[in-house]
Amino acid sequence: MITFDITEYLNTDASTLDASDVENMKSRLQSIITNMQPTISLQSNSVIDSLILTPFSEIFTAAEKGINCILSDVDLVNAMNGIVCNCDFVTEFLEGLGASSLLEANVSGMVRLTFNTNQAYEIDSGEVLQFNDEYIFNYFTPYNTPIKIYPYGTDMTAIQSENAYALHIGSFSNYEPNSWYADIPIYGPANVSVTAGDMASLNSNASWYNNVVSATALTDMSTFELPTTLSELLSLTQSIQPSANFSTRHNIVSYIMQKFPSTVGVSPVMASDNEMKRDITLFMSPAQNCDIYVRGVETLLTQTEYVEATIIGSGTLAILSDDFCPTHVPIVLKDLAIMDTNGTFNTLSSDTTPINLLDSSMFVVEDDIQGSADFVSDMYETNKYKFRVYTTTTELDSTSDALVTNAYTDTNSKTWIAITYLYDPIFEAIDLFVKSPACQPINSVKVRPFMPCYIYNLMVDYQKSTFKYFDRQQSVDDVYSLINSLCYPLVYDNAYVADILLGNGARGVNSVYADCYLRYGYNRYNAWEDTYIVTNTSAFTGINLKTIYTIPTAETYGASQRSIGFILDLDKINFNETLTK
Amino acid sequence: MASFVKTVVLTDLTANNAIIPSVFNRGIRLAFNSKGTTNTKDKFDFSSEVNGAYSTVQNALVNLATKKESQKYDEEVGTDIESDLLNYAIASEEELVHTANFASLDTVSLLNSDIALQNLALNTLYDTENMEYINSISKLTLQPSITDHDRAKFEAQFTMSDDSIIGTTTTISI
Repeated sequence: MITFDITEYLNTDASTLDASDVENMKSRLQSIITNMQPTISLQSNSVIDSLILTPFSEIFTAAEKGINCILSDVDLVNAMNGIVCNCDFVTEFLEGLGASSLLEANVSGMVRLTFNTNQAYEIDSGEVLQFNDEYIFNYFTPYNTPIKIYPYGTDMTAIQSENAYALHIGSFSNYEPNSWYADIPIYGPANVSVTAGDMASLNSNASWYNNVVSATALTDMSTFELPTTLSELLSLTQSIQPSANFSTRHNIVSYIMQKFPSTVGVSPVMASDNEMKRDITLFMSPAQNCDIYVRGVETLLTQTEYVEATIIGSGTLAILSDDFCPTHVPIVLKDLAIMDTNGTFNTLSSDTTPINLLDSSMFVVEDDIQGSADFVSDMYETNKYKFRVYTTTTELDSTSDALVTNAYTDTNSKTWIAITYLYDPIFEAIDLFVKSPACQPINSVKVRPFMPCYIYNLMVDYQKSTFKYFDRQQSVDDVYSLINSLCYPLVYDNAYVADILLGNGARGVNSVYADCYLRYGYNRYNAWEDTYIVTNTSAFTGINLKTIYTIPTAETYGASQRSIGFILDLDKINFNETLTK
Repeated sequence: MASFVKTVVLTDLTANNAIIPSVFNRGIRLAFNSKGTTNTKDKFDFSSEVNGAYSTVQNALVNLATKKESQKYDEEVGTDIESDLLNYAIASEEELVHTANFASLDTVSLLNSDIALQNLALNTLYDTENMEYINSISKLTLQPSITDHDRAKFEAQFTMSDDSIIGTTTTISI
């Protein structure tokens, strides 16, 4: 409870009161007295005026200023602007609003446990890890079960409501896997200094301890820092107005941001939005559908998956992988590589449109759907889908032409392929949290990563005055940061890019256009019909990125302002300078 | 002394049926000491009330003896009499008359301003028009005489807006 002493807010030094304020108060008090006691003399120099009205005017003026201070202190907008009368009061007030829970806010991340044996493991959910001999982290265990790690190749699609993870191949020796890993979400105290690659200490008494090769932080875990000043606390509190339900858009954003403060963007899609393509529930039903599109990190992480594959066909290389459950939810396929007879992985690429072709090589396996709908309704969820890679159109690049003739002429021969894709670890943690018994919203909520618009060329034509400095690198960094963090209601506009360049010294911006792919669903393999369906990607060349929100085909899949996110690599930003006078 | 207060009986009702009191401008009587000074030797007589024009006269006398700009919230309060006497600025009775005339004008202006405001508020309260619940000062005559190098004596005569006349004598000294 906030204890409040109004005298702390009273300015007891009358000499500091503004004379006009006191006169104004005196005038108002005179009106009140005249109405209540009309016969009393209030003339200047009267005893009542000099000895009663004037001192009380001072007291009331001080009290009024004090009350204004209180009202100002509970108005976060005022406080944000630096108008704070009583910092202790405001701090307590903010804690009353729920900011105190922030002080216990955790950072989220992932740890990669690498094992030397491909077998099942069971880790108690209460186990902890210690990074840098200092920071204690817990495994994120949304379900009330131990952490179960299944051997490589286990079909995880049937395993539900468990803290279950599968082993994946980590490395090879003599063409055979010799280490396996599982990526498990963890959480720990804020303000820690743990970066990707840091090793963790584990419980040496655990039965599985001797099988662990390493425990490594997969992500930086120092992205969220606790506020150290009242101003920062205010800013954070205002952005994460405490809420504990998914009833409104704002509540959803607040809830997610409170649990995962470092999240880059949250965009809820409700039943009335064009982006909502799941079945609309009945009018007034409390169980409205809601898709929460999340951008957890600005720079998506890269994951390489190793899968056994079969060489099919002859002449042109064609490969078909085994079905596999990826470690993470693939957002964009970045690369495919195939192991040659020397045990080396060689990148496959195509002549013109590498990303599109590579992306179209990865299929979600739908083995029990007859004549499936036109889109995958549950696409991008962290349900452990089975994928397969199937490609007949890829060619080996010039450096590995020899592979075709030397190693892979035998149809049906087996080898390993490496599938590299981008994923969002924070999105996965949020999805896990929302599905867990700790949350479980009343309505049908699905957490999804943004539908990716992968930009493989962003061209900016700009003008620069001769001899005037233009900070090109800063512009690249700013554009990168902007594009990769756009989240509704902030949508792309060329003006943002132009502003960045002008702000860094450019004289003008002539045009901004992009080459990109927009993917609004996974490609699918329908086992029932034995067909590969590639319909969920559109390619664009030289477009204004803003038009990506209104592609009719994509909109039928729900890809629009609230659901599209951009992925742009630093080396894909190209500036074209024109010198002017 | 003639009655100067507009006589209004308690049963008088205004348009909004409010009872109009018979006496206004009620204040606490200042019991001036034998020499009539208005400095710290003043005494309050809380058992005794001063009202109507007498209250106005009392306030005016206090104003005459109050040093100009001594009140931090109202620069109009006070006169230059005290400071002129203190500074030996008055060398002759002619100069004192000059100072007294200005003091008289300042005091009338100040008090009438307050009275006008209060009458306006009372008219609003009782839903009446242009009623003079408190009489203003029509004329204030100060007749000073120097009694010592830093002491002066004033004979003051107030003519109120209802033509009633109140005369009094007071001494202002340092």
